[in-house]
Amino acid sequence: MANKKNDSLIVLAETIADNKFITGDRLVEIGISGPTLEASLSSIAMAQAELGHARLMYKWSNELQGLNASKMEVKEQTGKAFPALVNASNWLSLIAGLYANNQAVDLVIKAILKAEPPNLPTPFNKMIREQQEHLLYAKSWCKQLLRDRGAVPRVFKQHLEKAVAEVEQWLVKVEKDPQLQSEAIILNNSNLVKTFKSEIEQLTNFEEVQHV
Amino acid sequence: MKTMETEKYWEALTEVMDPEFPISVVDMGLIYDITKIGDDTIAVKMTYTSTGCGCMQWIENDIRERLLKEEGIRDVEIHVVWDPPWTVSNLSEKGKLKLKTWGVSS
Repeated sequence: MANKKNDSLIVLAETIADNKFITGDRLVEIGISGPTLEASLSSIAMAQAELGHARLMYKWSNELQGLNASKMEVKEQTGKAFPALVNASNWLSLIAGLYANNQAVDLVIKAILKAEPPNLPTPFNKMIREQQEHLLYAKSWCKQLLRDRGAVPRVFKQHLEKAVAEVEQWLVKVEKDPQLQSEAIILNNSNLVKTFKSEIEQLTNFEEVQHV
Repeated sequence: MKTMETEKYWEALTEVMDPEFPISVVDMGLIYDITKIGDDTIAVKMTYTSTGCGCMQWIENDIRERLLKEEGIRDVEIHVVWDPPWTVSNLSEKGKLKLKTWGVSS
């Protein structure tokens, strides 16, 4: 299966894997001193799953490259993780990165599953289910931080905007990638960017929606 | 799928316990299929309860070790799959009862 045709797909797989890898790492590093005991426990549990997702995606990438996936050893990311996530150093930037990244990955993976590309193994069902729980958790924290007191909402919004901007850039590339489109891995009408923007808008404007 | 030929291997794997609960990997519903390849190789298709399971290598080693004790078996191939994903409905009735005894709802 390793050929030029897979180049974009390998980059996509590694981007998701790297971000999951870094998310797992950050959830442990920052999450251990989360704002509450519940937050710390949840962070560690999610870290384990995020690292599991990273392992799954690296394995998928190796298979696409025709490498022996069972002999895989991951010691560091390939350099495709988003800077906002890599540099997350506090609970606000961690939650912003966790939400933005998982929301985008959710859209991309679902778009691939929807496209049903022929001859492409798509072992993502378990990951999608687990990821839904992380998304729900992150989204709920986003809402809590956006309606917190003092400087928290403003600073969190800055972190969120930064994380969202990086993720959106990636989604634009994925959506417009000629190779992914010609191989029918991402369909023309996938609307990744539009859907992502709409999700972010719903999240950040939740107060207005609640008051309607 | 259990066949006459593979039944004894399914039985053998009821002796391999999940490291977190004293329930066999068969009763946990982790084993999807066992096939015999040639005269001396067994292929096991299996899954885990979570993609982040920290005991994967441990469980695979236990499975391999147990099946290699079977007469004439020299190699065990383990294929991990995520479709269909594991859910509590994979648990056997025996597994559910054991979990209940341990105070875990399924």
